[in-house]
Amino acid sequence: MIALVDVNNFYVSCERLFNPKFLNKPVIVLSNNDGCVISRSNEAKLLGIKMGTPLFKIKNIIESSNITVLSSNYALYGDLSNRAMALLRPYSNQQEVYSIDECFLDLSGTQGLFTIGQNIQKQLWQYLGMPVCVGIAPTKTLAKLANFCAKKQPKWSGVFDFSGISNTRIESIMREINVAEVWGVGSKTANKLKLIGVNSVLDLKKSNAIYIKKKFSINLEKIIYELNGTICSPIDVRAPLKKQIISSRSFGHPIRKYNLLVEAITTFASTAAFKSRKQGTLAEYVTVFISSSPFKETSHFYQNNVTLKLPYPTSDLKLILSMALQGVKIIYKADIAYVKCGIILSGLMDSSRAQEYLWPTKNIKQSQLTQVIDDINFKFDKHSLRLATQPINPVWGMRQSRKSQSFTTSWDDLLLVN
Amino acid sequence: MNNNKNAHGGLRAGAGRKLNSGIYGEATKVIRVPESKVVDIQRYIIQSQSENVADIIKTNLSLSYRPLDLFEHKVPAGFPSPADDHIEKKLDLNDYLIKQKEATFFVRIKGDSMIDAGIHDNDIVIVDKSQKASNGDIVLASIDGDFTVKLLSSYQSKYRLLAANEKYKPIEINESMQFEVWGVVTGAVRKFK
Repeated sequence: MIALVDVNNFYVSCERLFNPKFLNKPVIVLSNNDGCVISRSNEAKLLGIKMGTPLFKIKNIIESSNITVLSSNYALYGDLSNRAMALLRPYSNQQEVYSIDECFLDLSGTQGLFTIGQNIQKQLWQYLGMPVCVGIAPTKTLAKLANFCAKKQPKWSGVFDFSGISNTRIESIMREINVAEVWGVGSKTANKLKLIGVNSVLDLKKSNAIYIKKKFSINLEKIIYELNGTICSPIDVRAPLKKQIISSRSFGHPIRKYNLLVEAITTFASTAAFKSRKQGTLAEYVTVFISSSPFKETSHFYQNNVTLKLPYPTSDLKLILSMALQGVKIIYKADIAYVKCGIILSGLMDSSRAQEYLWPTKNIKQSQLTQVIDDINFKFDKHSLRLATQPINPVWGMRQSRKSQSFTTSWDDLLLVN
Repeated sequence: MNNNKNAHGGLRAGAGRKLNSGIYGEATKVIRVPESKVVDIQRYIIQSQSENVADIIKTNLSLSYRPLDLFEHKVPAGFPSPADDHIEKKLDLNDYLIKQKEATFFVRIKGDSMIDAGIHDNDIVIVDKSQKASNGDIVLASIDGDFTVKLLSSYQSKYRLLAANEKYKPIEINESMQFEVWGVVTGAVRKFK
């Protein structure tokens, strides 16, 4: 059996841990640059606030209903996520961390699954103040569905175990759930399915897998098998290597000057190169992209990107940066108000595998300077050592007017208590 | 006979490799290098194909001749250290102060209300959220959404929060208050310098 554990309203729940004032009140968390709603407390959901709504569209209801609005605080969320995942690990010998707020646990051979689900719930609430839902079922697709049931039906109080329920009961539940709720079925596929009379989860479960494979895809065929209890996608304990690393931001204010763009690219290049080194990959290509605002009607919209091949696969910051800056030179146009830029590293390969790639790579290590910078930044603060073009407080920095403190990751940000 | 004989052999226009068509895009030349330096030279050539990297080459080449530290050579003979079998591990204050690391948080104290319990202004206290609080524990509690660190006193399911400083009165918890014990304070840390 497989359990899917997922934290309800994760970002809001993290904020509530250090701000009990937010409990039982409508709270929302905004995306980077305070753009759109990305997490909502149940109270905010009841007020009709939808995921992804831009902040300016809900200004009125925020005031009239006294909704607490917060900027996203990824340092806090990341740390609390790591803690939660570490607490869940001992429940199983196989854990797949699927996203920042959910993971699959392999519970095969374990008895008393419903009780385990309840223990998980109690522990995460006591230890981290996180409300979680647990769905338990024979496959990952069914566990996702069980989790959905646990969330939607208050009477099941957050734990739903398919193994403790009769088949007819499960099918009657599946009949009530829209096929679009199945994990891996997008809204487009759901609409196409409805055209051939597949409306509910049960309809999909009873569909002819071979026919579906022909008409749709092999993935949808697998989903049908999984809905019928056959495992097609086993628990994957390795963190998947990212095939691309993107580091990009919208600016807090538009920028026009070339040297400010260079600053931003330097910052993103060092983040991207660091991520690549951390997951042990080397990049073959670096892409630079810049863009003005598509929403401003007064000026014409300019965006451009360029992809350059690195002389050899590398994660060395200086090399990646020198390429990226050549890229900026190529696509920069003067007198344009840029609102966004970024870096993509692609063609990533395992650094151990890169040896087979070309004759000299086995002799090419990242420059020791980069290693030293990494070591020092790990030991001290994140940006203790920077390249000279990377500013501490950039003029183009993020708008995060409502960010909470980094309670768990910065000595200067600890909770102050009388 | 005709001129055909003269058309055999010799130069033909357009034949052979194009000029500058090799991987380096320019004419090349054969040179002798010491075998031990082949790899360095190859690396140099690859790197120099991208612009603006002259300084990287300098860094790499100079770092590859880093002198060995004095102690990198193992002593091949001699009496083995009698302490080798007795080295266990380094002391880590985290081990001493923290029991359940996933549920442990640091909080900074403001004010002198707990001074008689040895908790001073600006101290960092260690809060374990996994522990259930009992009578007499120092706890981090929230009352109506505000945090405070105090001594928990419970008697017949009535709670009071006591300061460790006679300047402060006990706080009686009543039903109209939103009260929660957030975690148990298990230690304090202070730096003098």
